Order: sequence, then C-alpha cells, then structure tokens
Amino acid sequence: MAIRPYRPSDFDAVHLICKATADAGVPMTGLPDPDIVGHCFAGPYVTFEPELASVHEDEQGVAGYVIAALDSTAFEARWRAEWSPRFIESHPPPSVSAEPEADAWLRELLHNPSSPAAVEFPDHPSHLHIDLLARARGAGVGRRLLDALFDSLRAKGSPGVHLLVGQTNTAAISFYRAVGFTELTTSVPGLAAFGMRLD
Amino acid sequence: MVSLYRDTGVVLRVQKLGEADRIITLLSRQHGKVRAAAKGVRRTSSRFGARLEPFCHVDVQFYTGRTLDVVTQVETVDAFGSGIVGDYPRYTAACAVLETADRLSAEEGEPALKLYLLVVGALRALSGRERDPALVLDAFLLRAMSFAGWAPALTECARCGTPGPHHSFSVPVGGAVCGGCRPAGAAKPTADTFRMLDALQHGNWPVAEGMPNTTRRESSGLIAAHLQWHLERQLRSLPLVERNRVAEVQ
Repeated sequence: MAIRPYRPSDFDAVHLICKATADAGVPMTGLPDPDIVGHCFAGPYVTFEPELASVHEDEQGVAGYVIAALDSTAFEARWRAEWSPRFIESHPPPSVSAEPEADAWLRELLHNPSSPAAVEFPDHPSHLHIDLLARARGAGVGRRLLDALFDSLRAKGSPGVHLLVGQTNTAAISFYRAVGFTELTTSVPGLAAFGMRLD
Repeated sequence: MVSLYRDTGVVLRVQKLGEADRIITLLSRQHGKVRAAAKGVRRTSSRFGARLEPFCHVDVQFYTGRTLDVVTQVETVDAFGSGIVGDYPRYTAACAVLETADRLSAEEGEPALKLYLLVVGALRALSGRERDPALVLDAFLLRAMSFAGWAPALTECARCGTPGPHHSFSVPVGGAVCGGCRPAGAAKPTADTFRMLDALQHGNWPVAEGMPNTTRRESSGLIAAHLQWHLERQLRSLPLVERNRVAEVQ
C-alpha cells in the first residue's frame, strides 16, 4: 500500500480507473467506446505532464491516481495541437450521425477542450483530477495523493490549483472541503469549482 | 457573479447596435443562449469582427455588463461558414438550422448542451459537403424537435401507443396514428416515408440516402409541417402564459 510517482507502465491502469469512476464514481453508460472517457480525462495528463501524476497501489494493483496540469491554458493549447489530431479518424468531432449525447459531448471535448479556467480562476492556474476505486476510498488515500500533488505543484511554482465537480456529487464535494479546498465562483451551470492556494 | 467568463458557441444571429457595434446571439456549450455586445466590430480595424459572423464556431470571452455582456476576446474553433456560404442549398439549410436553434432556445443562460451539439454537428456536416444538405437539415430538425420534447411518434401510434407500422400521420396528434385513432385530414405517407423518417431520426444514412426523391420530399414536408405547427403554437400560447403568471403573483 503506497503512494508513488506515476510510471509509463501505469497508463492502462489509470485509463481503467478513469473509465470506472467517470460518472461521480461509477462508469458512464451508453458510450459506443468507453475508452473515450480516458482519452479526455486521463490520457493527455499522463502523456504531457507525467511528473505531476501519482498513483496509489495496493496488493491488487493500482487503485487510484491524481493527475494535473500545471498551466491550464498552456495545457489546453498543447491538447489541441498534439492530442486532438490523434483521434481524428477513431473519434472524429460529432456530425449528424446519431451518437448518444454523452458520446457527442466527449468527442466535441476531445477536439475542443475549452475550459473556463483561464478567465475565471487566474489565481489558481493549475487544475487536477483525482479518482479512486471504491476499495481505496475512505482510508486517507485521497488526502495523501493530493499532498503529493501539492508538493509537486509547489516545486514547479504554481500559485494555486482548481478543480471542477458536478454540483450533485456530494461525496466528492464533502471530501474537497474536508481536505481544505475553498469554493470558487464559476459561471458554468451545474458545476462547482474548488481551489487551493499553494503559496 | 463572475465578471469574466468564457465559452464555446455557434453564432446564430448578429444585429446592428449603434454606429459600429453589433449584438451577437450565440448558442454556447455551457451557458445556452447568450446575447452579447461586440464593440467596434463593424469598423475595418476590428480585431475579431470577421470571426463573429453567423455559422462561426468560436471560443469567446465575455465581460459581464449591466444590461448586455460584452465580448472581449474571440478565437475561431471551426470556420464552418467557408464550406457553407458559397453553395446556395447548403447556405439555406444552414440558415434554417440557426433559425430553428434560435427559436428553440428561448431562455438566455439556460443550458442547452444537446441542442448545441446538434447545431455544431449539422453545421459540420453541411460544411463538410459529404451529405445531401436537405437530408442533414431534416435529420437536424427531427432531433431538435426531440430536444424540445415534440419528437413525432414514428413507430407506435401517437395517441394510443399501439405498436406500428402505421399508415397515417397527423401533425396535431403528434405523428403516426393507427386506423382507430386516425383523425379526419391525416396524411397517408408511404411505408418508405416512415422508414425514411426513422432512418433520419436514428442516423441510418445508408437507408436515408438510398430513398428516391418522392420519398425525400414527402418526409421533408411532414417534418416541416410538424415543426411549424409546434413553433406557431408555442408563439400563440406564450403571451397567455406570461399573463397568467403575473395574475398569480398579484
């Protein structure tokens, strides 16, 4: 049972956890290709900023991770330039095929990863995603993963980190408050934003 | 309230404001319909005037104003206009997509992600020139009506729910109707037209594109009639709803 830095060999495990926890801790349903969740919310982070990623490993394997982007605006530009083109053939932007709404949304996001961060959270330019399988929840793992991330972000000079979470995901919101995040104001309906200053 | 915000959206409409400004109506991914002032965009020196034309898919930053929000920065995400404006059938189909989206997204700031995705998908298909623009428009209109809650019944009877296939279609009843529920004046489309409507609704392009022109025309006519009937009803009833609300408050 240990928190350790991400290694390239963890890529598939991180992808799997991302898929398994995508919808407030459970998998998203109805997607023609569930891997698209990992392509949007895990792949670009561990590919472009692996040094900010940490995993929690128990006797059954990797059971949780934290991933992040140091500068959300620069990360988004790199995503558009280097990540989106990889999926032009396999997951093209939505057209008039009858894909489910969630799939169309993810494919639009994959090719156009626009976030409110740049203008709404200038004091918290980094952002993170943290996901734990059910067996790793409630034992302080999340807090330790975040502490590892905060140390990495401080070492790289980030003044603050934010995250976005669905307003109905009350378990996650309670966790972020307990860890010390403060709620930020976002214009985006349905989402709550939380921030942590690191200076 | 945040003073600055950002979103990605499609420009639905532009109107003149004063000497050099415009009011832009966008259908955005996260904030639904947004109306905002774009200052100085009708001057030749404008930094982003050309990016704020109908059909443009743009990433926009806004400043929250007292009456209208103000556009402060614009980046192009997809320049759909270049694939649309030079081709009359595509242009008219795209105009109908934008106008329908504008009419169906009545409330500003009310999230309309599904409608946004439908509009972007339709403009992408029209701009990409791979499909017949009339079929793209019809597929969009059917799904947009589904967003609005008025999807015509195609397989079961709209009144009693009896599974089809049925042979009559009634706009006021809500789509396909069985022999027992068929009102006077209901249309009698061919079986192929029902298959065509179902194919457009579910994205079955090989079936839709294999249909003859007579079937395409008949299905377009039913879709247009269904949409017009609901839009006109919506407009007629809206003033009454507003008055009733005021009466209740008093």
